Amino acid sequence: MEKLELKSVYKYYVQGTVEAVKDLNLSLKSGELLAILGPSGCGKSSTLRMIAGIEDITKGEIYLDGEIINWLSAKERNIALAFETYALYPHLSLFENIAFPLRIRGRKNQEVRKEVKKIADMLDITSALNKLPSEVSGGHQQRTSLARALIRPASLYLLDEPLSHLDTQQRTEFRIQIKRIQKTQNLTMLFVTHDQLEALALADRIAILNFGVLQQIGTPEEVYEYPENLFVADFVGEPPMNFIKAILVKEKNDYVAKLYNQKLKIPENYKDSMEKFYKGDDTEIMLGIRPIYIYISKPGESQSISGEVYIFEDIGESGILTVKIGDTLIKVELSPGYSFKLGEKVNITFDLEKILIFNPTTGERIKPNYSKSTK
Amino acid sequence: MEVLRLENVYKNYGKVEAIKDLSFSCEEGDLFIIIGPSGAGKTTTLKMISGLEEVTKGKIFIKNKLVNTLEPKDRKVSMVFEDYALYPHLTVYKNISSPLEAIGTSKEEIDKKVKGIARLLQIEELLSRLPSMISGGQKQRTVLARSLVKTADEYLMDEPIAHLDAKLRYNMRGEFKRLQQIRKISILYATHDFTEALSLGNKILILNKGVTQQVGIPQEIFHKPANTFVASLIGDPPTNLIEGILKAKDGQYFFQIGNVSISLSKSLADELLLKINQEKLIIGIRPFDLHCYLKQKENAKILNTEVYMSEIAGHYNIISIKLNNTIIKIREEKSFKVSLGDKISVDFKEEKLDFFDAISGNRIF
Repeated sequence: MEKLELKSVYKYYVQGTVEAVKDLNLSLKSGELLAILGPSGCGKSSTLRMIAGIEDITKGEIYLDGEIINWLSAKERNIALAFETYALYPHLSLFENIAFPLRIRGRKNQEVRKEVKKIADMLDITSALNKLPSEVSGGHQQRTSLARALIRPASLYLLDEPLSHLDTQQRTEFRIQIKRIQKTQNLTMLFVTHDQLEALALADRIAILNFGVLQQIGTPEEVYEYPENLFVADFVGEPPMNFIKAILVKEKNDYVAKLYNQKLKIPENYKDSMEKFYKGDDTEIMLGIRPIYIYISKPGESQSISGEVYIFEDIGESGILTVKIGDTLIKVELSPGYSFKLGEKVNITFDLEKILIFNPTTGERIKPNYSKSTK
Repeated sequence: MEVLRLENVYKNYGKVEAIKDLSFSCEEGDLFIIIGPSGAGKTTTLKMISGLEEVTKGKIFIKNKLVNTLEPKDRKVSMVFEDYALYPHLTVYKNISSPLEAIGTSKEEIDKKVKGIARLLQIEELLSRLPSMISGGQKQRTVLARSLVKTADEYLMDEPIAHLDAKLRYNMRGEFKRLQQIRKISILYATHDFTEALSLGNKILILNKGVTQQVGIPQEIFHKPANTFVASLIGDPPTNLIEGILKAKDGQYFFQIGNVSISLSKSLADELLLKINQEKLIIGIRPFDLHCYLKQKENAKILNTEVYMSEIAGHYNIISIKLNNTIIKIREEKSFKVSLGDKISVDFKEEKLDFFDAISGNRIF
């Protein structure tokens, strides 16, 4: 069942001069964890605030459990919120901060104690419950803020940058706890983040926004392997994808990407799409390939292209080779054990299954005629 | 040839000992890395070398000359700080040339040097622009150019790329390494990022709370961390450190973690027993060296354990399991897909284990 549904939602600020969110359509199933990912100013926080009822919707409709909630106040929506800034009551203990949503609903003392203990155990803050917010670390404050959001049953839980104030180690630990609670309690959760690593690790699906426009929505694997456009391809994944400008050339019946003087045959399954895109032998295309999908090959091997070693970095668990072909630098991620000298000639091949082709003008990905990536 | 040497250097701020008994030396052409968390004493060390901070005790030599009492300007070092500041009203060219103008270099000489370094750092086309007209990465290159344009015996760099975003940092790291290899200059480089340290350094010193933990070449540190502190810095995700007890039963040896036991070979146990005086140990194993199996794998070291978490990290998956109270991370292929609660077995090669003393944290072998 659709838990939450946004239908053609818009948000304008300053009498329509700033379009923060444009024509956003998005839905969440019960028990799903969705991440809204994007750089600052992409409209992710505005979206969250409209769902929460803290901000008006300029245009469009938002449904929760099948009911339109546009005109309900934040209090009337069965939605729990955890903010980036912890906003804890400074004069209340962590216990009372967490208990607050239950207290205002007039729940019995005994029940409150039981519920607080349960959620505090899950988030590892039991031993600090009697302390004031000022007496605990930022990590504990963030956990407390989350515990306060999770303590009461709600149709939907909204988390705004829940891990932003933590160091790397705390972040990886806390992220596991959030996902475990969400999965074991079967909560429907939407969280907002600018960190693509966090979105990939946590979410069932990711919605990527840029300048208020939805770029793509899909599973972590879909957005990583089959980005819809250059923005998504560049924003998701670390180390970043290589983008290589090439010229599309027709040779007999085949399409070839020309990279300086070298040629790379374009996979057979792209034939129809290339046919459509080809506008003579000066058509530009943009190839996209992740460093992990490039291999070292022997000279003369088919589909092999040659360049020179720009730099090689041995980082223990892998080796990162930068190859220079013409003015283009291409990064290759290799398994341990390689070593190269500056300026040495080197041959590489791209995994043809993994190569992506983009329209350099619009940034849209040109999809093959068939294969699962066309979905 | 040796360029820089520190001999038993201490730095106290009142009662706080920021640096304790620090000794190391850098050869010409070394890219020597000091790595540690914030507060380790990295910046203090660089400042003492450049003369911006006094040495409390010990000696600093540059090209075999004691420099403890020399003014910063009389030491032939060039320093780059983390928070870069370009002159906003000066062009990129003028920003880069400023250190040379300050020492009265001739116009032609300045032009040659500025253009040379700008070409190497690929900011040639930006020379006539103002800092406000260039990107963060280009600003960083300009700062590097300004520091490298002067001739110095040792270049001191304090987290020069730390605040760039991940992608820019990834690219700059390679550029930086190339530049150093082409120019063969001597650099002392402070960072908190272990990948950066491994990528760039030909020698690495690990500092924690002012105390040296280990000095060595990258391979040595990566494969033989001297203690649990160093081990905990290595890898992404970092090395798993698991505390347990060495047990013998019916001629078999086990490493007992709470109620879970992992069998150890007799030869390994014998070797361990020679070197330890208590049964409590910490083992270290990299997520990279652990492997998961969906079915019960015969003789796997860890059988029938539950998936505590599975996360996608770009081109690989990170599977977590929980042994007793320790979460253990495993780096697996992306094709290995499991859900919370699935039963898996986990295996590893015994020779991939590191052993540490449970009290001191020091490496046993």
